[in-house]
This record gives sequence, structure tokens and C-alpha cells, in this order.
Amino acid sequence: MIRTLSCGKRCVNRLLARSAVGAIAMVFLTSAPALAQLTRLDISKGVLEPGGTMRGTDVGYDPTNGVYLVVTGNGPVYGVFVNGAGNVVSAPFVIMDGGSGWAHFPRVKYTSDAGAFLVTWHQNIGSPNFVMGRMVSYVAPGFLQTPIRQFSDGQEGGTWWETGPAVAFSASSHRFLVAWRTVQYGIQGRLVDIGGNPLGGIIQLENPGGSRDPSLAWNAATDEFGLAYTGWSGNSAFAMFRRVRASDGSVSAKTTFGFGAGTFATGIDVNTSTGQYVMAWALHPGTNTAVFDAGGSLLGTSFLTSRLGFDQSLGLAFNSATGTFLAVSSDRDSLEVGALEVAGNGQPNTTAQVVTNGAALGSFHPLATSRAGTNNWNVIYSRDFRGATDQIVASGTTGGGGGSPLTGPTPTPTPAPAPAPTNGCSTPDPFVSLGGGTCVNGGWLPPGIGSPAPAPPPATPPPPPPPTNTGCTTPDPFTSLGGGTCVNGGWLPPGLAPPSVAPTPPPPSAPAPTGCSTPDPFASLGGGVCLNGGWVPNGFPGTCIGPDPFTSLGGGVCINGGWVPQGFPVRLP
Amino acid sequence: MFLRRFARNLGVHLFAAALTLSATSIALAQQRSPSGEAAALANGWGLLARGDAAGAAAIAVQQLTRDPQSAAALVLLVDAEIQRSGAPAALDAYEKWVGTRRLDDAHVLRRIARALLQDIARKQANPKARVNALSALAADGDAEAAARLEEGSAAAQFVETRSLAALGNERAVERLIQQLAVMPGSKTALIDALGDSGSRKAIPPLRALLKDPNDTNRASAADGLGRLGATDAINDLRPLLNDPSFPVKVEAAGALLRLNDSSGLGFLMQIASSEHAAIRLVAARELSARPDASWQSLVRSLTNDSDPVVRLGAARLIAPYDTTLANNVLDDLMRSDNVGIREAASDALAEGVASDFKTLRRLLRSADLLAQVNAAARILEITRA
Repeated sequence: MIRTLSCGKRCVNRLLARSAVGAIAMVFLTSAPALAQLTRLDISKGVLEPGGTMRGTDVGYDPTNGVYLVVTGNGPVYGVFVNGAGNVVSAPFVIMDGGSGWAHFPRVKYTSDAGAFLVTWHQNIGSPNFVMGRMVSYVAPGFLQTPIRQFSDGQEGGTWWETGPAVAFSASSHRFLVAWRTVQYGIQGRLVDIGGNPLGGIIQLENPGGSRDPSLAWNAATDEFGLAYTGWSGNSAFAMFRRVRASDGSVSAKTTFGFGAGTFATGIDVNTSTGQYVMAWALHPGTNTAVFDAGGSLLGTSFLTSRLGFDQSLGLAFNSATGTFLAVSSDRDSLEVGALEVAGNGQPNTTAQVVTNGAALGSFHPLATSRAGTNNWNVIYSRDFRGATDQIVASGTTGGGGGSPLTGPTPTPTPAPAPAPTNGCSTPDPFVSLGGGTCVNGGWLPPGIGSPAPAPPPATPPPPPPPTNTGCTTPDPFTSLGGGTCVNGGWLPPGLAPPSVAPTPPPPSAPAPTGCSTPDPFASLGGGVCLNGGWVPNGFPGTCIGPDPFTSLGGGVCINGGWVPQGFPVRLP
Repeated sequence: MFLRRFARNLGVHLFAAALTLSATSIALAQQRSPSGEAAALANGWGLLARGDAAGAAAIAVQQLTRDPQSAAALVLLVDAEIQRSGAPAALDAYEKWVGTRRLDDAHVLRRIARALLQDIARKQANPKARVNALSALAADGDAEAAARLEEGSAAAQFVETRSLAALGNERAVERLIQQLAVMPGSKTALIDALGDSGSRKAIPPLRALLKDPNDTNRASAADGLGRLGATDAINDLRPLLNDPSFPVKVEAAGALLRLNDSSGLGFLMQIASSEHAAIRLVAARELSARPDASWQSLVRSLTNDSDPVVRLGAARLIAPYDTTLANNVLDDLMRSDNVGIREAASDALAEGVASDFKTLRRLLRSADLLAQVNAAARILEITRA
């Protein structure tokens, strides 16, 4: 079913006449820019609703297997694979079972280097939260490719769990950068290899005190990550931008711009046609964009809309087929997700439009990713806090939409990464001759050496460490609020009650597979699958291909073609 | 049998022709007599009551052709068009009648605005538009609209609950307070709704949120308490002037000023001289509780800023004191190359800046549904007795 928005009868007919293949071909065959409205392909579908309240969703795309990975969580972290049409193609599976801490706001990024996604999340261990992650692959048994690793170190009060840990991947340096906000309003990050292991130490991307909402994108032109975030000083709020060298994590000086009453959630991506970064930030309500050249020069800012963009709600994703970006957010004017196409030069290409359906309470934390080689985006969001709902959105725009690319006084991108005037290090990097050091907690570490990487977690989850009231070296920033609490060297605001390590609520038990008393009639076809006492062909919907990966745990359950652990609380879409 | 059917048909046609002839004669006669218009219009209203909107519209047009100043005929025409094709068609007919006239007929325009709101409230899937339309009708005394809002609120629909709360419904306020307790993360939508309620019941939960770990919740709670006139919260608000978050400080200073407490005035005056126009606009917004000459001067200067978003915000602020300036700024912004700016300017006009019927009529045709609703609601507000 095709649903059109702001599209007349002729427009509908045109869209109906356009097959998916035809649309894609048109995208590549047309060179002149063309404008079109956003189109919804099918309705919004709850693809991962494990039961109970879920906090945070994300989606990434695996072009090798033609699948999206959808994640959500609140306690445990869950995943499911969906196809290009947004339909479920795997069973839901557990990425982190909640046994080692309470997790929420997962994020996901794919790399073909590993044929896998890095999934990150915040996880409460003891008192503070930490950023954790693991590699997840469509082709790995049980989809889980690596153990869970810890990326953050609990400093600055631990990680701020209400903003998902941003992830981007460098295809040149073959590593991810993960960035998160701390409770004390700092921004930290860490490089992660394609095995999901931390590389080097924590990178202080912004000192604590006035920063929030980091987002990341990788620029192939320079092998640098663009870091977008927001924050404030004593007399203004603003947006900020830095570059981070993928090879060693060196951090550029920051650009501060976009002053206003309040600046909130951010999104950033790279226009691969121009090599420019386009960053969006929320005004609560409202959204602005800024364009930076590859060298980090600010080329211009633009107002997008007053309908989209809130403190916890903004996503931005580039589509190379259309040359445009999709900005998504909870919609000011409805309970649904609103979306707006942003031209390649960062200016609005359309007005904001509702692109989802079915919400009764609201649509929260939307993000989007584009599907390579098509004019599609998958918009993922939490409908009524139930988990992850997806909505495929398409655009007929080609050539980047209206307007000309922005150029600045230095149109030639500066390929050389800026050396690292990293926050916290007041002296020059003494390890430049060795390839550049890493600034960690105010001091320089030689290349390859950072904060001690946490050991991979043991097979059984460790007991949560008790909150350690170690001393804080900075003044309490929350005195005006009645005084903060010093935890692990960082200040927590008064009244802050990080989610305690709550045991995962006992899920309803799923029925165990029942045995088949007759011989397999499909043996000559490679073997059938015993489902609820009867045989069905392998690959039949509702059967699972391959052995049960959960035999060591007492045996899994085959649901919708995939194995899930017994007791997995699944409400199938 | 054929002849019998032919004769019967002929009879019917002859009878119809006679009726038509008779009606034409009557109409001609009526045109010549002072009571003719009343009789014709009575006939038109009768047709409309029996569902013949086309017939009623034809009579109205006939009367308007004879007497273009006939307000009674115009009302019949508009009501017939509403019944026949909806509010947009009625607006078409009305604007054709207005033509180059200098004055609108407020009474007739009001009927069109109400019809538009009823149409949106009945058919529109967009909850915000539907509920805003219901709210405007409820505020205009429409009991059925109020009942529909109550139904939605009882079913825990947030948009309906928020609108009812803004209309002073205490049950809706209590529901919002209950939802506030269980809403995870950002609670700003609920906080803003409680701030709009005007209810003192909202004050204790908002006071508690002044110590929330989420800075956005703290900022929204401060703003809400200021709008609620919560003078008993002044001592809780003052410490937020030292909050690490700039948005929290700004909202606290503005709230205190609205509560006649000048603790944050120095801070607001400091940022009123910021090098950034957007920050000066923030200060102007929070200082709007004291719209003295220096404040107006500050806002007027911002209406000339190079940043269209700043001009837009300044136009909103200056509108109650200089409608012409505000309209001029927004009219200019409606011609912006940036579609987002045009949309925001349209919203600003519809939400309260526009007070002339010509502009509001234009907004009734806006592509933005919320702008349509806001313009119709504004017409009801302006024409309310």
C-alpha cells in the first residue's frame, strides 16, 4: 500500500505507476534536481514490542544481507531484523538480558568490515550508568557475534542514560567512535574496533559543565568524525561542532554557533556528494541546521521548522540516492512522528509532515537510517513506549533537492585533521612524532595506550559493584539545587535516582516445543522442522532454519522462523 | 399500457412545468414587492431544511443578484454552501460576495469559521487539529464539543485532556497530574499542559519538578509555575537562578518576574545586551511581563534583525502593542525563500497576531491545518459577543 502526503490525485497516480525499481532507476538516470513530497510506503508497524515500557529505539542497515537491525530496550536490550519493506524477517532476540544491569536507549551502526552492527546502550551497574556494547550480525548464530564490552569508565557521574550513545564508523580506519553525555554534562567518547573492543582510552570530547546530546557522522573525505552537540554557558545556549580524527581520536577545536534560549537533541550526517557535514539541532520546539565543509568551516545555518525538534527527539539521515536528508522527530501538531526532507545544502525541502500512524499516547525518540541504493529511509520510533515501530518513507527528490550547495571562504576541504587541542589537555601533544597521543583526563597518553580497557565480561554477569563514594575533585555543581551527591568521582544532581539494578521481571513463559512422534516426511528435502507436534518444511514460515542455539540454556523456542530463548517475552507483531 | 405510462409522465412533466412557471411568477412578483425577499428567503430556508441545498443556494443567488447588499440572502447562501459542499465552498461564495468591499460581514464569517471547525472536529484524523477545533468550539459555548473533549479525556487521550485542562476542567488537571507521575524521561508536554491549566492543583507537582535531574523538566516547571501565578513557589524558584543550565536560569528568571519578584531581573538585563540577537530575543521574551518603553524599544530593534527567526519572535512579542509592525514583519516573512520560515510566520499570524478579517480569511485557506484551525478560532474569539 502506498500512502501519500500532501499529494494530489495526479501525484498518487504517478506514484502508483512508479514501481520500486522504476523509482530507483529514475533516481539514478535523472541528473537535474527534482523536488517531490515524502511518501509513506505501507503503514507503521510495531516490529519489536517485547512487552512493558521500552525506552529508546534505533535502526541500522546491512546492505550485504538487505536487512535492517531494529533495537529497543528497557532492562534488557532487544533486537530484530526487518527487510527493506520494514517487515520482520527474524525472531526477536535478546542482545543483553538485563541480568547484569538495567539497560536503555540503545543505538546501532553497521560496518561491512565485520559484517555486523555495533549495538551500544546505557547500562546501570551499581549506581552510575555505563556505555556498553556488542557486535550483532544477521549471519551469526543467534545473531550475537561478540560478548558484551564496557566502553565508558563511570567518571563524571557516569553516563546520562536518557541520550543514546552515538555511534559512527570509519571505513578507512576500520573503527567505530562511540560518544555519550555524562551526568555532569560532559561529552566523552571511545574508539572501538570491529570486534567490539575498546581501542585506547576515554576521549574527553567536551569538559563537564554544559554540554549534551552528542551525535556523530563519519566523513570519508577526511577520515574524520563530525561531532555535533549542544550546551550552554552562563549567558547563552548554543550548538557546537568538532571533528575527531578516526586514526587516533585527536579532537579539533570546537565551533560554537546557533545561539538561543535552549538547544537540545542533535543529528548529523555527511552529504557524500559534497563532503559537507549537515547538522541539525532541536530548539524544543523547532529545528535548525548548520552546514560545515569537510575541513570544519561553518558555511551557514538555516531554520527548518517549528513543528519538529525537542529535547529528546531528533534524527537526521542522508540518502545518497536522493541527495537529501530526512529529519524526524515527535510532531508538535499530532501524536505521531513528523518528518521533513532537508535539501543537500541543509535548507528545508518540504514542510514537516506526519509520517506514522496508530499512536494513542505519543511517538517517542524517532531516528532514521537510509537504505543504500534506494530512495528509502526506515523511520524507527517508540509508539506509546511499547518498543520499536518502523515506517518506511520514500522521496522522489533527486540531485539534492532545491538550492545550491553552500560554499564558504575556504571551499577546498581541509583534509589534514586538526591536531588535538583536546579538552582537559592544556599542553601540546608530546607524542606527535609517534603518530599522536590521546588526551585522557587532562593528560597525554602515548598512541595505542589509553585508559585500561575493561576486560571482556566473564561468562556469568559480575555482581553489580556497590556505589563507591570516592572523592570529587570539582566543586558540587548542584549546590543551588540543594547539593549533589559525589559518586565515583562525579557529581549527581540531588534527587537523582539512577535506575537501580532491578532484576528483569519474570517474563511469561513461552510454550516449549513439543515433539513429533512420526518420522520426518521432509527428510528427502533436507529435513523438516517439528513444530508443535507436527512436521513442516524447513523454511516454512514459523520454522527455524539451523540448530537451536539455546540448547545449553535448556532449549530455545522457534518463533516466526527464528530461535529465541525460552521465556523470552515476545508479543509478535 | 405504454400510452397510460406516457400520459402519466406527460402529466408529471406538465405539472412540474406548471410549478416552475408558478415559482418564476412568484419570484418575479416577489421582486416587485417589499415582502418579496422575505418570502423568497423563507422558501430558500425551507428548501435547505428539507435538504435541498442547491435549491436554497439558487434562491440566495437570485436575491443577491437583485440586492447585493442583502445580508439575509448572504447568510442563506453561505449556509446552503456549507450544507452542500462544506466550509471552503462557503468561503468561496462569501469572498465572491465580499469582492472589493472594504468591510467584512463578521456574522457571516463567524458561521464559516464555526463550520470549518466542526468539519475538522468531525473528520480530521490529526488529533491536535481535531482537538484544537473542539476546544475552540467549546470555548464558544458548544456543549457537544465540550462533551466530546470530556470523552477523549476520560479515555486517557492526552491531547483532549490537555485542552480540557486549559479550559479549566479540574478532572482533566488531575489526570495530567497522574500522568506526570508515571511519564518517564522528558515530561515537558505534561508540564506545559499543567502550566496552561491555570489550576492551583498543578502547583505542588510542578514545584517538586524544580529539583528534577532532567534540566528540561526543571526549566519547563519553572516556566509553568510563573504562568500559574504560583507566588508560593518563589522561594523554590530563586535557587534556580544559579542552576548550571542556561535554559533553567532563563525560565526561572522569567517566572520570578511574572510573579513580581525581581531576583532574576539583573540576569535578564545582562543577557538583554548580549552580542547575539537571538539571546536578546530570549531576554525580551522573559521581560515581556514588564513591557515598558525600553522593552518595546528592544523588541522593535529586533524586528529589523538580519536573522528571520529573530524577526519572527520579535513580531510575536510586539503584536499586542503594535499590530501593524507585527503584521508587516510577518507579511515579509511569508515571502521568505525558506518554506520553514513561511510556515512559522503563518502560524504566528493565525495564533494571535492577525486580527483583521482579510488576513484571517487567507489563513482559513492555509495548507497548514493548524493554521486553519487557529484562524477560525481567532475569528470566533474576535466576533464573540
